[in-house]
This record gives sequence, C-alpha cells and structure tokens, in this order.
Amino acid sequence: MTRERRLALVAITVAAVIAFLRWGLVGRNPQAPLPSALEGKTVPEAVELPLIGSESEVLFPFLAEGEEGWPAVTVVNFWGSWCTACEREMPHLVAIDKEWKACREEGGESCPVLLGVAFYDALENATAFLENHDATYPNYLDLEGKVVVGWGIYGAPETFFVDRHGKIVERWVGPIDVETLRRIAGEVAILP
Amino acid sequence: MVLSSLPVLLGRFGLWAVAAGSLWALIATVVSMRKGGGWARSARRGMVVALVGAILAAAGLEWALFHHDFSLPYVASVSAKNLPSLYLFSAWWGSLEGSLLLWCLLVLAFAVPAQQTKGMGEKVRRAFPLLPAATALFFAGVMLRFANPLSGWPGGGAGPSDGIGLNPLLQDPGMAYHPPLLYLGFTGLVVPGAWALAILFTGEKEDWTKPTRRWVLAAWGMLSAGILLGSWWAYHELGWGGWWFWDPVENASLMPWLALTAYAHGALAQEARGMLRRWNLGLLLLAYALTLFGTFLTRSGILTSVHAFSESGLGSWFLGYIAVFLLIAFGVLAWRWDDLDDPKPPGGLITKEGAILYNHLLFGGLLLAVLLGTTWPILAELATGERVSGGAPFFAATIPPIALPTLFLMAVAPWFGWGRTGKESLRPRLIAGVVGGVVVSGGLAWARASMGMGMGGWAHVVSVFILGAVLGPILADFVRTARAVGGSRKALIKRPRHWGGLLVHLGIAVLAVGATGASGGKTAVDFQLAPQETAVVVEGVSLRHVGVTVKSRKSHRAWIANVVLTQQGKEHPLQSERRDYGSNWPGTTEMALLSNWKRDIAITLAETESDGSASYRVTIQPFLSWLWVGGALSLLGFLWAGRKGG
Repeated sequence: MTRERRLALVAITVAAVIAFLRWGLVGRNPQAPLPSALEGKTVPEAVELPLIGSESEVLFPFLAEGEEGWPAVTVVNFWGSWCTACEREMPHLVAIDKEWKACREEGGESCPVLLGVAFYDALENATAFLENHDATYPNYLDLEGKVVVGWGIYGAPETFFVDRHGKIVERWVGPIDVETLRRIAGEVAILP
Repeated sequence: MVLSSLPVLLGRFGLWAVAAGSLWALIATVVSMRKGGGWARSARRGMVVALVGAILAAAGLEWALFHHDFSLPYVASVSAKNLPSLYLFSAWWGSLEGSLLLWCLLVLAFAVPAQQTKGMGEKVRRAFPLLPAATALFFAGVMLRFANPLSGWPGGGAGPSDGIGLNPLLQDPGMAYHPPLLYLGFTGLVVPGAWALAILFTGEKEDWTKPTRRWVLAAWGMLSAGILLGSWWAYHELGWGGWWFWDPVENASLMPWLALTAYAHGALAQEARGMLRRWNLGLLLLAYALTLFGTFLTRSGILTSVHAFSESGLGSWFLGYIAVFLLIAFGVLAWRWDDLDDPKPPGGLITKEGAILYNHLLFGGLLLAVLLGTTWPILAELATGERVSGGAPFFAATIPPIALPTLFLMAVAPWFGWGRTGKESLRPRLIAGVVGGVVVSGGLAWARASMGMGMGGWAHVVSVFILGAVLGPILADFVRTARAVGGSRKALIKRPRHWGGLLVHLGIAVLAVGATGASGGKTAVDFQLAPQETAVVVEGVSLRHVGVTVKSRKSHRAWIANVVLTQQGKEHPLQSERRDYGSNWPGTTEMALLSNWKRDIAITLAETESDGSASYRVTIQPFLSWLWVGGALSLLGFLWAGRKGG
C-alpha cells in the first residue's frame, strides 16, 4: 500500500468513526436511557403506601408479578417535589395521562396506565406540586423510601415500563417527554 | 454584585494561565522542532506556567469549598455546610467541572517531570510537550468555555445560604479515592502517548520502551487499582450484590486498560527482538485516545442524562478534539509505516513473540467486544431503527470465549523462549502446569462439595484449572531458581521484573476464579421477618432479624437493622443499614457482609415497618472474595515489577 493510500484509509476510518459517534451520541436525545442491570427484572413485592389526596393506604403496585389483571402497559414514574428536573418533566406526564385516559374511556384494549411515586418527600409539598400541575393520575407517597430501594432507584426522575405480566421491560433515567412515553408504551403494549 | 475573595480570583487567573502557558508550549514546541535550543526551553517554561496555573485553580476551588463560598454555583451544587472534611475535599471531583480541573492538573503534573526522563534522545525530548500541551489546552478551553468550576452565578449573586451537598453515593471513602485513582491512570497515559507521538513526529529510531517502562507500569498499575476499587465500591455501596455491571462508566476505564495491557506485552517483544514497533506505537496512541473517549462517554453528559452538558456543545468539542488527535496521530503513523518495519519475523507459534502476537489479537478482540457492547445500542438503532438494550447478555456471550483462551495463553506463554522454545525447558513446566491444575481443581471441588454447591459452570471449571496451571510452573521455577542462587530471598530480589510479571498473572488467574465462581453460582433470596423471626436462606445458612434502631448522624439519618446470620452452626451478629440524606438525594444502603474464602453472604436492608419487622435481600456468591485477593496480588506484582533493577 502506498503512503497516500494509507493516509486516505486513516482519514476515512476516523471520519466514519467520528460521524457515527456524532450522529449516534451527541445528536441523540440527551436523556438517553441508562443501560440497566434491572431491565427484565420482576416487579418488586407490592407494599402499602399512602395514596396522595385520599388519606388511605393502597397497595403499590396493585399486583404482583405473574398475577392476572395487569394492564397492557403500566408506567411508573418516580419523582420528588424537591427535584427540579421533575418540575420540567411533570407537564409531559400530565399530557400523556390525558391521552391514555381518553383511550380508556373509549374502551381501548391496550391503553397504558400511569402511576407516580413521590419519594423522600413531605406530603404537603408533594400535594401542592401535583395541584400546581393539575396532575390527577394516582400518585403514592414513599416517605421513607420503602419501595425505592427495591426498585433500585438511583435518582429522580426515573420511569419504569411494566408489561402485561408485571415484568419491568424498560427503565428510563432522567426527565422523559411525551413522545418518548408514547413510543416506549407503544412498544411495550404489543409485547405478548 | 458580590466581590469574590482573593483565592477564587487567583484560581480564575490560574485557569487562564493554564490556557496561555499550554498554548505557548504548543507553539514553542512546534518551532523548536525546527530551530531547537531556546525555543525548547521556552516551551518547557510554558508547561511550568500551565502547571502553576492549574495548582492555583485547584487551590482556589478547595479554598472555596472549605469556606462554603456558595457564590460559586459549583461549590453550591457539590457541597453543603454539614459535609465532613474528607468529602469537602473530594467534592473537588464531585461533578463535571471539578473533574476536568483534576484531569488537567494531573496531565501537567505528569508531563513536566516526565520530559526529563533519562535515556530519551534530545530531538524526541524536544517534541515531547506536543501531546500534553494540546491536552491541557483543550481541557482549559473546555473549562473556560463551558464548565468553569470557579465562575460565579450569572449576575454575580451571593448564592444560596447552604449548598445542595455531595451526592450521597459519593460520600464513601472508596468513592473519595476512586475517581482520582482512575484519573491518575488515565492521565498517566498521556506520558507514553506523548513519547509515541514525539517519536513519530521526529522520525527518530528511538528505543523508548526501557526508559518509559516505569511510567507505563505506574499508569497501568493506577488504572488497574482504579478499576478494582470501582468494582469493590460498587459491590459494597450499591447494595445489589453485583460487582461489575458492564456499565458504560466501567467499560470506559476497561478499554484503555486493555490497550495498555496489550502494549505492555508488545513492549517485551520490542525490547528483546526489536519487533512490533508499529503495533506498540499504535497501541499507545490508541490507549490515549480511549481515555479521551472514556471521558467523553462519562463526562459529556451523554450517559448521565444531565441535560445541560449535551446542550452546551461540550460533547461536540470532545469529539472534535478526539477526531483531530486520531487524524494527526494515526496519519503520522501511516506516513512513517515503512520506516518502522519489524526487523525480525517471529520464530514460530510456540515462541514468546508468537504468543505475544496472539495476545495482541485476543486483546484486540476483547477491546472490540467491549467497544461494541458499549456502543451497541446505537449501532442497533442505526441498523433497525429500534432501540435495544445491550448490556450484560452481550458481554456474557462475547467475553468468556475470548477471555478464557487469553487466560490459557497467560499460563503457558511465560515459559516459551525468544526465537525458539527448547523442548527440554518447556516439558517440565507443562507437567508442573498440569499437576497444578489437577491439584487446585481437586481442592476447590472438595471445598464446593463441603458446602453442597455444584461445579459452578464450565467457565469456572476452566478458570480453576488455569489457576493451578499458572501456579504450578511458577512454584517449580521459584524452587529451581532459589536452589540455583542459594536462598529464596535472593531469588526474589534477583529478577523483580520476572517475578512481578508472574505475580500479576497469578493475581489475574485468582481473580478469574472469583469472577466466574461468583457469577456462575449467585443466589438471591428476599425475606420479610418479624422481630426475632428466623428464616433459612440456604442449607446451613439462616438469618434472624433482631430489631431496627434509628440514628441521626451529621449528614444523614440511618435505619440500622441488627441481624444474626448463622452459618454452619456459628452465629455472626451483623448490622445492615439504610441511610436517608434528606430531601435532595435518594437514600443509600450499607449492606451487612459475611465473607470468607468460600463464599460471600450479603444482607441488604430493603425496608422497615412500624411494627419492627424488616425486609431483606440476601445474596450468596461463591468465591467472591477471590476477586479482591487476586486484584491485590496483581497490584503487588505491579509494585514488584517496578522495583529498581527490573
């Protein structure tokens, strides 16, 4: 190989690698998913938690893995009123919840269900946060972090996608948006 | 408008001094390569100015951290008034901005003395600052443009009355030392990389492997220690019982390590036979590029989901710098390719140089597998338009088939000769290897049987045999040498490099037994127990929940569960903790651990109830402690090999 050809080979290889990285990494949604050791894990055991705005304790999540009756998709969002990224994220959750509620009211078959868990949070702060954002989907309060250890939460916000068998199929770290929620829920809904 | 204090102002000035000094060093170095003399001295002064600037900046930042100067957003985001001194200090590298400063300081602190390395030619020495000056300039530029740890709030506000505090996951002695150790390894690579680039630019026929050996050993050892400590920390602190997650952050440190390990063996061939110069130069440049790539992966916000960094264009700067480096470095390598040809062809497959070629191929394979696995999700998205989660299954499928032949090579290749391998010298070693393999396999099979465990998977069985095959010939060789020189102490002192290298091999073999044993035989069970209730975990192991107490400490509240773990009739009182660091951070766990040479039993406190009951996860992993023992043996080997006379 001549010197010029070798140089050209280096230039082309470097250009291809950098273009790939530029397109694939920098150009991507900055909230790319954190590859996770937890995906494919079963939903941790259900625990009774206060349901915000109801003054009663309710089982979270409502069913155990393998039990019948899970919706096609259950989306569980972990947040806290102390987390600024959650503030940015909340309008997206409220918007997608409207969409999914409408789907259920029309009697759709595989409409996703959205749940929220505020952790390490004071009840009044969490309640005010939800009211400010007009969030009406069920939100639990995990005052002492009863469930966050089991779910392996690293920080807020984090969002889990659970399939119809109660298995976690996707974990999203960082703020999520409407499009991503719609896309991943769509992917999970068609799983057998 | 708040007037900043003098140390902070000096620190800001220091950052500019880093940029100016390294820019000057770069220009003067380029000129000195043609004109020499005074320009070279001037370049060296530029590097010293940059180093002093970086020290000033670091001192300014530490001053601000210890004086709780929350008029600096960085200080407010990584520290708080209640933080203990150790973590106030380590908050320096608690986030992106400070980490960049540490990187920059270490690069300069290595490069300034390294230029004086004895035994390198004058021309090459003059060109040496090219890479460190460019690196420091790049990091200073990034800090001044995007991520300045010493900048104030926009508008110059006084900031909050207290800071957010350091991420509790980083509030652990291990985490205080781990990043700097890893960065020491990363930045240490700039020195061999700089020599490689200088040799390529000047076209000198320099024999660099001997003079730079201790620099390479130091960077290699620190990188190894950093990786090990990271794994140890993940095991003890994350509370999931895992010790290696194939997490991109871990892979980022593994990739340069693989390139450097391949180089270290290639350097042997170059010293002994004048072979593999191209490979070796290429591997050093690649190792340097991989440290940048790793920093790009972990620190540009691409994987950590921190919005601001990718938006700020930091990622593009990093990629741009990597692109320029790769183009120039590998461009010059391609240019000089024919001048660097290998004088002696390998003598055959069963020779040291033949084995080192194989070693290069295997390490190349491992590197490619890790690189692909780390970027696989992106590749897959490119090809299919669908997102896949890569991770553990990919590595479980690709790594063992390459790693096990590498281990095998590690057991036999040290006994090959250069040029040719005498049958009469190889045969006793092979016999010692087979005997060692059989003895160790038998011993561990007995230990497993005594605890009612199965064989633990084929990878484990193979690793155990290889451990014996590594150990047998080493012992035989040691006894023989001791006899020949009259005393085992004399034998050890005589060839530090020989024994150091073998000790690293032995450590890696022990580590492989731990890794395959733990991952092949892992059991995890969940329990919820009322006070004084006992549960059987596995045969011969039971757990009794005693009770929970709550304690308030300086930076957190702790729920401490007291348990009694009974193993084969013996009772062990232990404590497992969960910690709450207040509203800004998620909690952490401190698991209870019962560790012996046969297995690790870890107890993680999942939750506590008001009636005094608690839920636990109990994880049992056979031979896990061998990981740390093997790692420690390898590190000792690095130290031994670096002794004088090596």
